[in-house]
Amino acid sequence: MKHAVLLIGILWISGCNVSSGPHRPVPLAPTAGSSAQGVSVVGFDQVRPLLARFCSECHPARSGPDWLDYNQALAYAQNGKLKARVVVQRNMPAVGSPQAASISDADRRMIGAWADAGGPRESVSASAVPLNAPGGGSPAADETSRPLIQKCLQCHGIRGPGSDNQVRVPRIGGQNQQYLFEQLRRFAWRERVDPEGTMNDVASILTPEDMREAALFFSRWQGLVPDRPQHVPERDRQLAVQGEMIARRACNSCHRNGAAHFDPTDGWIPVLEGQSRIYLRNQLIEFRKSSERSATMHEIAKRLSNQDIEAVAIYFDLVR
Amino acid sequence: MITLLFLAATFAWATETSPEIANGEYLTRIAGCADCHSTTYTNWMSGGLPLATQFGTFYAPNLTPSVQYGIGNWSLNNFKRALREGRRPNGQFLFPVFPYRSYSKMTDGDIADIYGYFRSLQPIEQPSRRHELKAPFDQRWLVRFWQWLFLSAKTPLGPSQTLQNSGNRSPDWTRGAYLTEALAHCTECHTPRNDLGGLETQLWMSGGRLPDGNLAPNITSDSVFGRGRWSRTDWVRFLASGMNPENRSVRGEMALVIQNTSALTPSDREAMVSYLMSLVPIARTPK
Repeated sequence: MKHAVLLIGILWISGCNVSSGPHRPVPLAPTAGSSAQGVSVVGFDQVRPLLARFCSECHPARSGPDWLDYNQALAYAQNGKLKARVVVQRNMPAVGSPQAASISDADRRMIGAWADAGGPRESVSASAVPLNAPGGGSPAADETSRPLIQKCLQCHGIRGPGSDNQVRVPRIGGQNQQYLFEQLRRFAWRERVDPEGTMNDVASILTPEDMREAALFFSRWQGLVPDRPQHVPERDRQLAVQGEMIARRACNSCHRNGAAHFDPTDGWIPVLEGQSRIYLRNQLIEFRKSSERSATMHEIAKRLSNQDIEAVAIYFDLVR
Repeated sequence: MITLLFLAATFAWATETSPEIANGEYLTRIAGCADCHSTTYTNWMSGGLPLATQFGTFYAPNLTPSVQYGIGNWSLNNFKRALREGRRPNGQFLFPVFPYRSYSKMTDGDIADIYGYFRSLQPIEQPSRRHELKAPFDQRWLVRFWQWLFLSAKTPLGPSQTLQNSGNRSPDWTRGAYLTEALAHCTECHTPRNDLGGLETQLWMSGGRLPDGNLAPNITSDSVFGRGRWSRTDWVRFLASGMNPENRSVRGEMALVIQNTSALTPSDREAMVSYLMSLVPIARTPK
């Protein structure tokens, strides 16, 4: 019964977004249905009610920061601990507490999205890029109908080409704008070669303005990553644990295990969380073969065995 | 869903380590221990990387807590002695290819934290490979003379000319000097060496030649031969991502160094930049 009510709630809220068009303000109610839908950048104004509900019972009374104080909360959003405990490890709110029982996955995702966005004070309104529903993720008609964006969406989709693990096409929703632009430029100038040639062909007919627009469009989906797969096979789970250890030693200091620590100087470095494992594997094998694209990545990939590559690819695919 | 929760739970180990071990892991990263003591990210610190030099080929030993092959039997004092005096627990000399000239400047607390981190690692039962050195450099007792000439544990971090007026420097700069000289040991490649393998202290950080023949550039603040034209932002970006102001990524072994400096906390990175930007300019191209 409870679930049915919740479901109706979700449908109602998402229905509102669809029917009222792109300029409707986002519903701010901190319920499961709201999640991160319709918000391109989640701000403190949106997560504060969640923090009040799920964190303030114990903090700062027992330990930790005062979550209702923006600056204290910001420190934890930026040092990665907030997302690590709430979204990745899921051991906050404390396991067994009433808060842990009542917090929804959507609430956790929203807190993670705020941390990913670097802990901004204000939300960037959804009016620019509303999403219809948590699962679907199709943007407003006027933006997606642009032929340029249509072209990208054909293969990439918003959150990637689906949950199928066999995809070679990368997920680009929420990727760094600077990075996306630079890759398009490299494809166009053939400084980066797509083995299948598709991206070189597509990028070669784009103007710099097109590239900028496409990069901006996809970069706005920060913090919105594809849903986790329903079933993780035992072998993948074991590899992901190994992959996490490798990522800790080899990847995270630059790729930062989420965008929370990104500063403008790091805009060239891609976000890896939620990326397709096949794409990651292919890229690492390519980096290992040649230092042409990145001497840094070449040096690192040289120290990865085939199994290491698979492990680290599965880890980033699963850690969302 | 249950598997996912389990997956999430297995990711939790990272935060369960003590602050001392976490600091040790951080310092180990900045000191670049793994660059030589690991060949992959899975056989972490078990040694094996060859370093070919004019004196022969050195192989980095196993540093995991394996009793038979690693440092499982080493006490903290043994470990401290290796870093400070370049000696094994049995008193034998360690070859200065292990950059203890730099590491000897580390504080006791930091040495203890690094020791704690190594003890927390998974022991890997992999024998250390013997060095293949040319005579007479294979004689460990000869290292005594090297140490007598070049190891000065009691002197300040770097040569006097780079540290002049250090009394007036900010805490930020002092931290940067410590990170650069005692941990990251930049000078071991970026300062030229004499024929006996000692650093030319008058030419501090003005560029050296690596054993593999590649050049390490002049990183002093000389605006023509060094890095004098780099802004603070350029430096910070370089240490964070390996991208120089021309948007080219670093090559060769420096890529591994950048992997370490990218792990610096923002304040430590700023501190290191403060120190590097203050290096006395030397107009010289490395030979």
